[in-house]
Amino acid sequence: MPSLKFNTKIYKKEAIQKAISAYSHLARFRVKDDKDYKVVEIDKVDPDLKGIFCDEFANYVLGMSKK
Amino acid sequence: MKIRLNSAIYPLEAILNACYCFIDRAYIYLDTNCKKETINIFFKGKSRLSEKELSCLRGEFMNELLHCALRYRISKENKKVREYIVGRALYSASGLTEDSGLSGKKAEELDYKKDSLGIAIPWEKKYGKIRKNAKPKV
Repeated sequence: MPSLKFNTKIYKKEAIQKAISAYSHLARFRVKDDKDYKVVEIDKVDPDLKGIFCDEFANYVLGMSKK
Repeated sequence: MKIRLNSAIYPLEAILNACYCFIDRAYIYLDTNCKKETINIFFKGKSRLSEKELSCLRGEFMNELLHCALRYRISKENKKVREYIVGRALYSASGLTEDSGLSGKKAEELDYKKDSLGIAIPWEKKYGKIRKNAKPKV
């Protein structure tokens, strides 16, 4: 199961939540806290997007954090 | 490709803005150490990139970062002036001007058709007809 670690000093928690709700129809997410990180575990990814899903998701979180 | 930046030189807001400009061309992931002294940026091209293209992307990113850092600094320095200008503009638009002393609603109530100052009254009607032989007062 792939997972992404988002540092909470850089990425906003709200941005991660927004990204999860935007991508919720394409995969299943589980969020865990790990000190300064929010660990997002990604499961049941849409087979068409398997190769790019995590990277696209990380970019989306980055975009939302900037706003 | 990995870029390591000193957060004392480049503020996080500038780094985020610069990264945002590149999210259509690359996958970007950011991380920092516990003290938030250095920020690591990991780049991965959306399409397969050669060494030359990667180096070019890096150069473009560093230029954009410099631009964003400068913009951030200028906006921080001019914050008070900007707020003053916007505040002043909104204040004048609200109708609460220092000159009239009237609120927006009161000013609207004063109908120009009523001519409360008597501006529309002709001179002759107000002060009588002009005499032809009248000598001007010296």
